[in-house]
Amino acid sequence: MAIACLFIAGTVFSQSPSPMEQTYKRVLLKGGKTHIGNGEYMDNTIIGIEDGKIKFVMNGLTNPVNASDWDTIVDITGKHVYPGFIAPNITMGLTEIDAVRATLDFNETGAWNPNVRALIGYNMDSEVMYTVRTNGILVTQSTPRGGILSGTSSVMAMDGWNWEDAAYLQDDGVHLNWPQKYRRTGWWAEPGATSKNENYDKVKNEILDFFKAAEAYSKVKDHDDKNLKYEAMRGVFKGEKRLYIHADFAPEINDVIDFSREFNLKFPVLVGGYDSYLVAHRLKENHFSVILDRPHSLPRFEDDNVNAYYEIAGKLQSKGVLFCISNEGDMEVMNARNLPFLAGTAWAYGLTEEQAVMSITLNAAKIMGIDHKIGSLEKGKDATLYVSDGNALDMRTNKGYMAMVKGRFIVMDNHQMQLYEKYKKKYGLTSLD
Amino acid sequence: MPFAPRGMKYILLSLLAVLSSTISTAQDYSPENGVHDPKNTTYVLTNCQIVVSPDKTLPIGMMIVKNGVIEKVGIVEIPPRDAVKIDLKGYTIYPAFIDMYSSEGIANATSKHRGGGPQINTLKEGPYYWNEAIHPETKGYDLYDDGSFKDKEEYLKQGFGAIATHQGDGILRGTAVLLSLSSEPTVDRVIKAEVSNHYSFSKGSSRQSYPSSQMGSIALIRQFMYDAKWFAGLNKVHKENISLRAGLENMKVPQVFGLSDKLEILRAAKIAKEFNFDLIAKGGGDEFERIREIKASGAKLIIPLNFPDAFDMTDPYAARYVSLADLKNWELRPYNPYFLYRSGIPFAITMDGLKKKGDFMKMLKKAIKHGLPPKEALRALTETPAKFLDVHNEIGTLEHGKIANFLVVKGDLFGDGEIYENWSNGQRKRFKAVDKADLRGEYDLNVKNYVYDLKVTGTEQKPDATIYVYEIKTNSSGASKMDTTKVKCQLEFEGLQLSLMFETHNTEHDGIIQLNGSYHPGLGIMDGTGTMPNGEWIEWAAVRSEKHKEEKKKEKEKAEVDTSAVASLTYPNMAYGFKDLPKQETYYIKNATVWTNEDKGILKNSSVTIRGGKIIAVGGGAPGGAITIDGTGKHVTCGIIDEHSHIAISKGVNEGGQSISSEVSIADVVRSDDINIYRQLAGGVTAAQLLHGSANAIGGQSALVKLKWGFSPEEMLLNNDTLVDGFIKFALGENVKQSNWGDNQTVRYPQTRLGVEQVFYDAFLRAKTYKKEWEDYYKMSDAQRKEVNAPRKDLELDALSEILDKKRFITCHSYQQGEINMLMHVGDSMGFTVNTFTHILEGYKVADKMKVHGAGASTFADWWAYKYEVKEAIPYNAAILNEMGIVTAINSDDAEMGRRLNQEAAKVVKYGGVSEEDAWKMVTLNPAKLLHLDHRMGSIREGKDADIVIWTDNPLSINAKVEKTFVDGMLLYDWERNVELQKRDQVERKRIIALMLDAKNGGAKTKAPVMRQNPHYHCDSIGEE
Repeated sequence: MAIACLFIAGTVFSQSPSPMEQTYKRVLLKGGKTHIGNGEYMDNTIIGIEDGKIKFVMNGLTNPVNASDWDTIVDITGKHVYPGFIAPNITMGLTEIDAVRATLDFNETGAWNPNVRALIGYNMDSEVMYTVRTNGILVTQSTPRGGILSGTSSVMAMDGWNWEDAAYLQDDGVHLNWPQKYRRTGWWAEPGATSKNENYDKVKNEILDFFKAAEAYSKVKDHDDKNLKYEAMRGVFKGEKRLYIHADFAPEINDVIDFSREFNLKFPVLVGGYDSYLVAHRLKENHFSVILDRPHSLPRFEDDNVNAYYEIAGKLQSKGVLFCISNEGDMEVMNARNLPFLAGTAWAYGLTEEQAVMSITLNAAKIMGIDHKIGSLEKGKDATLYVSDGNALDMRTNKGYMAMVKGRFIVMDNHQMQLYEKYKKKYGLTSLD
Repeated sequence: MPFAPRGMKYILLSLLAVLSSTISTAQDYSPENGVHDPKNTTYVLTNCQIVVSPDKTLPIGMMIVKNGVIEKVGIVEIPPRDAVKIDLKGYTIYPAFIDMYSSEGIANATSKHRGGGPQINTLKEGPYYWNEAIHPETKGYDLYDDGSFKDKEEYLKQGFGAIATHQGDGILRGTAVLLSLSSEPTVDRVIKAEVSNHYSFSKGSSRQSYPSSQMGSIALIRQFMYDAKWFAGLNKVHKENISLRAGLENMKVPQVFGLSDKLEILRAAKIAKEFNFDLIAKGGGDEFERIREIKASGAKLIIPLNFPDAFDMTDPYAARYVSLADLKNWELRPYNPYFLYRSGIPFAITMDGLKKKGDFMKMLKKAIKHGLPPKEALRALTETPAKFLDVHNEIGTLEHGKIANFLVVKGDLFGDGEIYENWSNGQRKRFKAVDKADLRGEYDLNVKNYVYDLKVTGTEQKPDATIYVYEIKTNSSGASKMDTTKVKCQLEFEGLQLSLMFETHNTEHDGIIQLNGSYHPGLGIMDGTGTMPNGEWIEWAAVRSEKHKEEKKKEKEKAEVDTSAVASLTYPNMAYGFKDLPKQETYYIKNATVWTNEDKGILKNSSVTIRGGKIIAVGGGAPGGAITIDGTGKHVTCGIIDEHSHIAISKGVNEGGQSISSEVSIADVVRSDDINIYRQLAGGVTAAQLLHGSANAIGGQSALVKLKWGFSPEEMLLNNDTLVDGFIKFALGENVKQSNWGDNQTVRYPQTRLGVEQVFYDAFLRAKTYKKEWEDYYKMSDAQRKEVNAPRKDLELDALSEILDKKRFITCHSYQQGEINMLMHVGDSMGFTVNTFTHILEGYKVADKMKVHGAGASTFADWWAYKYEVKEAIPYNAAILNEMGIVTAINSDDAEMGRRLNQEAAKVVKYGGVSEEDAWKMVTLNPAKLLHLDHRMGSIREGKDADIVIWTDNPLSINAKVEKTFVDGMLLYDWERNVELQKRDQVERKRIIALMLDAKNGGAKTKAPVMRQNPHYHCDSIGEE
């Protein structure tokens, strides 16, 4: 069965691919090398999918297949299967062209914006998104930036008709940018020295004051005089929403931990975490999980090990802290398609291969509180998965064959592939893929 | 009359030898208000030690000063009868210091520019140079204003007698005036009106957009020099220009560059060599870090004593913000003068760079404690600056006929001595009295027949007094004993008058006693009147019972000068620096998978041998004496070459001040101590093109470098090799038309892609005309040439002419197909080929045209969407270009990605299915071809440069790590050594932190940690650091 034509829709129009109609109720993927996402690997599997949910993942050699049980059987022998990769902490859907202001929707004015919601700006017609998902990134945490409280993120599928349709978990958490004790001066092209931030304590107290007021506010259910900012914080105090606290260095992280204890946060998440491995035991004791910065970054200090950023994931793993890998940084949205290779680099520098897979699948799902639906290929979870011709964490062999979001096939095409085809045809290049 | 030992006569004779005095006496033509009052008193200073010069000291002698000039030094039988005699027994006279690098008393220029927009042209009216930062016509003597010389008193206190001061603003700053620091009218104390000519690399208060980078400043200085030479050679002057005239005139005095670090000294030395003048460089105090190169440059130095304060390193996390480089700098900077002395580089010392001028002597003594011999300290402050400024016949030493700038010092000036007087221009300035009576001793103080024991101690200048009361006391059980009470006593002593006050409660007196009286030095007696506790006035007297005895100071441990710390210097002097630079060795790497990039392809189980910096064999056995490396399971490749890098650049990657800046060169500003050099080596990168940015249509010339960590910029540069071609950056699109620069950047031409084309046509048409002018001129006979003006040498058009002559090649920043097509048309019609389109993200749309034109491509593997013009970029670009037969490379443009170019190459396998071998060539052989370096780099072949990388795995694999990187046969990165270096650096940090703690506990000032920021340049980075 020439299944490929299913996903490469062959649309000749240069527009965002539309979600595909779900024609098949029962799908079987046969023969794949399966990375479950929970640290386990199975060769030669059969994966049964019914009504968009995974029914089983089993050894294909010892479990016979009855072809008539399935609407369609896709033979993926020799190919690798992964849970859809999850890109956390990113402005996906909120950015199109970095230098064009009209396309930027992630930084609301003012310092305190817990009430602004990322999913409102999540643009299903983003061309960038479709160049990212073809590398296996199928779920993203669309996240606002800027200010002290940037806003509220949502976990979004990278397929759907509109943001409601795409939302995996609406308003999963609020993002708090912790101040830095040392601050850079100058601007990026003319950097000044980094020196002590005399405002640190002031900002820290402002944060404390805001949280105290918001916590007190949340003790009463209905206010006549509604404060939208405090309303947005309710979930954080009730343990229904994550609080994502962005900080990199140990002294700040220690303060963040104290802060989290003071408010008895149930699901505190540290984002950034350059020094997280140095305070790993405290993070663990206080139920923190960590979303790491882009491993493909230069060391933060001149004297640091050349490979400092590559090695953080491995260090956290060995200390038993729950973490996942993000791609925060310059040009993060278009660069998100390299997420599997960030995990790949962490694999080269300390993680095992399956731990590396976990760092962009199940771990991320757990941290964001959506592991009951996605993150691993286990019974009862959504069939949100990616099939690659080869190992997807290595850039040579990550070649998308097919992917499903919530059990629906998605179009494995984007405008870049179309441009490629267009010019291959123009030049009559037949030897290229 | 001092006694002259006979043995000294010959010295005296030579000292008294008649020197022709070049100093005129006081100006006597100014009308006087009042009666004639000539200030021509003769002063005779006798009985003192005289330090005539650093090399000559008279143990005891006399000096005669008249009219501000030294008349005689030595031993004179009979002083003139009308002389004022000053007995300086126990004192030493030193020549006063000279600060030859100062801007005191001279204000900066002010810009006429208003508003936020760019200023393209000069706003200075008049016949001046076109750039406001170039003002050689500025005269220090015109601008000097004594009233605004705030720290003058401090200069005198610290021992300075004269300064050379200039306007510390701009690139060509004009001349300095040398003057003494007396309080006379300036007209009476100018030693030389124009004593030196000043330059710098920073444009100062000028708001004109050019230059915006250090390389721009360098090019501007060079262009000005050529312009001035051309102007001087004109047969017919058509336009007057004061700046050019002044520039020429100023070449007659010493040339001084005000600089801020070691590498800038080497940059200035290159200019000095080009224009054949002697360089005097005011450095930043870190010269020791490149001392060999600075010595070789022949530069004379002026160095500051701006030794940094220690950091407060209490918090181990905060301490991380201080790099090892800063720690080492803190430790070694005080040794800088010693380093210079030791390597025989002539140097003067300046007050410049000190935040607190009053710290000068403290810092100087610190330098002495760190190895600078006191004699050399004196030399650097007197004789050397006088020689540098060519005024050693006027000042610098204490000899007949020289200006009377000297210090009267008690003790050793460079030890614990104190400056009592500073004579500048013969004018006496007292800080302490040299003839102060010594009150110290033990006295019997008789107050109304009650005798106290008075002890005067302390120093001669500031005596302290204590009263002892002796009484016999009887206790309750009837036993008697002598009881001593010590009473603090207030003492004031000025001239010969004194007052004493103390409080006592004894059998006779109960309360405060206040005494006033006179001291009689010859007799050792004080007497006078005073009041008793009851207010009664009385008379009193005190007679000295015992003279003051200097407490025998413990044989003061001879100030231990320990210079062992200088051995901790590394190259570069920072983390991962080398104590000894690696050498070229013979290495035999065996049993490895060798990616040759040649017809042989990938060889399994093969070997590579390198020796003398070259590859000498591929396959084959071990040569004698080789270091064998077992490559089992490993992959060996040639080094990665990054066609597009912006690392290791000082102070600006863009000269964006004008649309054409072909005169500037990154090769002028290579920064050898960028940590990113080491980081790239750790990623297997061995060579790079350091490109100018893309802020303007025609950018600057490239630096082609080997990433030789630890070596100097010149040693890194390939540009000096005659077989290596020159390159230059061009750019198109949004950066050139300033689309993303902010709303007020709408002035510089061009603002549209339409204008960009015109800039190129115009530039090359002008270059052609220029070339023809020179060709015509060269064809003329000598006689004909005398009749015409020579063409003006134009560095900008020189570089463009080189492109037309196929001696310089273009790397053009480009995105959209339309403008790529345009530039190829310009090239075809003007007669040049665009060597490389870099970025070239829409190259796939015009690959056929590029093929016909003959351009190569250097692109990103998968970047896009960061600005509007890269909306149509696709990751399949490289695959299409390669398949179309275009030489295609993958580059970084980014210090982070630069160290993972192997991963970027691997993406080409993914996007388009290029073979692994071809993908690998995109970061090695193909960039070598694009840079015309493939004759010596880019593959593993006998005879090519030994730039070799050993990988743990297939280099395109996500698991590949660099084990070893060789550059020119030297092992510059090694996985295991990297671990050792980290450990070494950690220990080194701790060692220096301990020293800082000692300093802190010893009362030294400390400051909060501060981190220097490394600039991280991309194409569109604007401005300096």
